[in-house]
Amino acid sequence: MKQSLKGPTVTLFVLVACGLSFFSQFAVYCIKKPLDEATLTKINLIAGDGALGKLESSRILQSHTANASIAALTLAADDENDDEDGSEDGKDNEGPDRLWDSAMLG
Amino acid sequence: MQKINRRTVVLIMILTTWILLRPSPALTWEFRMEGQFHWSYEWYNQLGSKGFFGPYNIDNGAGTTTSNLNFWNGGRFDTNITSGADARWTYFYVILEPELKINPAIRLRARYRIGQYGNPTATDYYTQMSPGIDSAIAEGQWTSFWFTAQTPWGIFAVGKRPWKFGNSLQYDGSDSASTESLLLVAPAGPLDIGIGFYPYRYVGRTIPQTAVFGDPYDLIVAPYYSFAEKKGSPFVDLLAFINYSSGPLQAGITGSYSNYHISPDARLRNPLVPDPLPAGAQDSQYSHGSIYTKYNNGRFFFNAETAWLYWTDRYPAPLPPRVPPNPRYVEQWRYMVETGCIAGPMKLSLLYAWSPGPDRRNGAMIGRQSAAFVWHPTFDRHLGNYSVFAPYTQIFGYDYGSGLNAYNLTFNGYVRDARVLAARLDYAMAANLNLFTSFFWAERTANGYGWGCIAPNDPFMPPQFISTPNDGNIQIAINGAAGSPNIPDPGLGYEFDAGFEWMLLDKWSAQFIFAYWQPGKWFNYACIDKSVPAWNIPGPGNSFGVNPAKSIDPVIGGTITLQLVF
Repeated sequence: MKQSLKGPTVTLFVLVACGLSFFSQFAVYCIKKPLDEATLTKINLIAGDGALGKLESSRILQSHTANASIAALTLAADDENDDEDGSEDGKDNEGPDRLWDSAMLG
Repeated sequence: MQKINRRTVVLIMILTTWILLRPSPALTWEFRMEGQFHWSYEWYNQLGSKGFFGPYNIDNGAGTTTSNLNFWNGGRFDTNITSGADARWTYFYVILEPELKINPAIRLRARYRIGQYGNPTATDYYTQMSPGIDSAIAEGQWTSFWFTAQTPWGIFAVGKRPWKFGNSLQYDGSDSASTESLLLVAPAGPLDIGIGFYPYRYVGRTIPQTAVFGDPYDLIVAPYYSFAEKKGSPFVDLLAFINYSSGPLQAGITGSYSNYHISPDARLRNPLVPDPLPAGAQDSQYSHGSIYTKYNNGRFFFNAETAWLYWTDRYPAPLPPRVPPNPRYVEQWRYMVETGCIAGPMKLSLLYAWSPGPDRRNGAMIGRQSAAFVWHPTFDRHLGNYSVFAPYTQIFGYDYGSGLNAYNLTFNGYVRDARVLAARLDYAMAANLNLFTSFFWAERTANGYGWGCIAPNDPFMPPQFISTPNDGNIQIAINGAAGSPNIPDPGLGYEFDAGFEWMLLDKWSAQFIFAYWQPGKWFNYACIDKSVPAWNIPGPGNSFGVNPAKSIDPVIGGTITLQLVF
C-alpha cells in the first residue's frame, strides 16, 4: 500500500526547508555585507583583545596610521565624533582622553 | 534739588540693560552615559559518568552521604556540584557608566550595576528569581565613583575606580581590579608619571587567632570593633608608576608598598562567648608591581609582562596558635608573552604564561612560598588575571578557576599555578561576523599539593578539610591528606574552543562559545575518589582516598550571550 505523507514527515520537511532557507539567507547576508572599517572596528572590539582592555583592535590601527598611541587610537575610534568642547570641529580640544584615563593607572 | 544730567541717565540705562542682557555662562553640567545589557545562557556538561570524584552515584566513604554529588561543574553556578551531568542557567546584568563634566577641568565618572537583589558583589540576575512586575530584581549598586581634575601639575584623581595597568597580568581593571588611591598623574610628553597614596585603608580581618589559615586581608569579615582603629590601617601605603605611550608602543612600570600591624588588644572581649583560641599579633608588609610592554603596528603585535608580589608576615610572641612557619614570606612572580599577527581579515594570537604554585616539603607548607594564594588567597583575588586568558579558555580558566577556586572580585575564573601555551585564530568572515577558534594547554608549575586536596563537603569528610554540612560544594585544602606525597603529575589537560560574534544590528550582537576540556592527570591525585573504600579516612592503604589510575570524562560547555551596547 502506498504510504502517504504523515504529520511528522511534513514537519521534518518544513523544518529542513526552513533551516536551508535560513542558512542560505545568512550566507548571502554575510557575503553581501560590505567590510566597512567602522563595523570591523566594532567587531574586533567585541571579538578580540580590545574588549578586554588589553590589546586594542588591529583594525583601528589599520585605519589610523598617525603617530598616536594605541590607547589614543582606540579612544579616537570611540570618540571620533565627540566634540566634547562643543566646538563641532570633530576634536576634543580639552586634552586627550589618555590624560583623563590615566587616573586608572594606579 | 539737583537735576540728573541727561547723559548720566543714558549711561545708567545702558549699564542696566547690559547687566540684564549680558551673556551669562551656562551653569549646567554636561552629562554623558554609556551602557551595556548582557543576557547569557551558560552551560557545562560532562561527557560520561566518570567524574572528578570517581564514578557517578557511588559513595564508599565511612558515614558520608555524597553519592548523588556527581558532576563538579566548576564555580560559576550557585553550587559546585550537580547530581546529573548537566548544569546550566540563564542570567542578565546591566551596567551603566555615566560621566558628568562639571566644568572643563573636572569630571565625575561612575559605574552602576543592576544584578541580583540583596547581593552587591558583582552578581547577575538569574531568570525568574523575582517573578512579578513589582518584585525587585535588584536595588542597583554604584560599584565605582570617582572624580578627576585637571590641574596645572597634572590629573588628580580620588574615589573608587578601575585599576588598569599593563596587560592585565596583575591589575585587571577591565574586569575586576579597583584602586582608591589619592593620585596625581603628570604628563611629560609620551610619559605619564604618577604617584599615589592612601592615608587610610581598611585592612579588615586581621586577628591571627584560629588554627585555620585565614587571610589577614579579607574585606568581608571584620574582627576589629572599630574601623577607625589606626592599627587596622597601613602605616605606609604608597604607589608610583611611569607609563610610556608613543606610536605603536606602550610600556610601563609600577610598584606599591604597604605595611601594617595587627594587635589583639583591638578585639572586643565577651566573657559569655570567649574566644576559642588566644589571639596573637602580626606585623605585615607587602609590595607588588609590574613591568610591561605592548607593541602593535597593525600587522604584528607583541605583549609581555612580568608582575611580582612580595609579602612578609611576622608573628611576635606570644605566638598565635597557627604558626609556625614564622615568619611567612611570599615571593611571587608571574610572566606572560603574547604575540601574533594580522593578515587581512585574520588575526592569530599565541600566548605563553607562567604563574607559581605552592612549595610543600615533607608534607608541610614551608614558610617561604612562591605563590601568594598559599598564605593570602583573598588578596590573590584582587590581582586576578582573567583578561589575559579569557580569549583562550572558557572552561579551565573562566569556569573552573584553574581547579583551585581562583575567582577574581567579579567571580570570573583566572589562572593560578600554571604553565600555559595557547593559541587563538580570529577570522572576520564579514563586516558583522567574526569566527574564532582557540587551543589551550596547561600544566602545574608546582607539585606542592598533597593527594586528596579537593573533596565535596560532608560532615564526615577527610580530616584535612573543615567538616561542613553536605551542601553540594567543594573544598580545597592544598596540603592534602596528612602524610601523603606531593602530586607527581602536573597535567591539567587541554581545551578547544570555537565560536562567533555576530553583530545582528548596530549596537546589538550575539556571541556563541563552545568549549571542550579534557582534564589532566593532576585531578586524579587532587580529587578524592568516592569509590575508594573509606575515602574519608585517608592513609597509605587506600592511596589517601584517591585513585590515580582513574579516568575523568571530558567536559563541554559554553555560553550564548546577547549584548546590547548603548
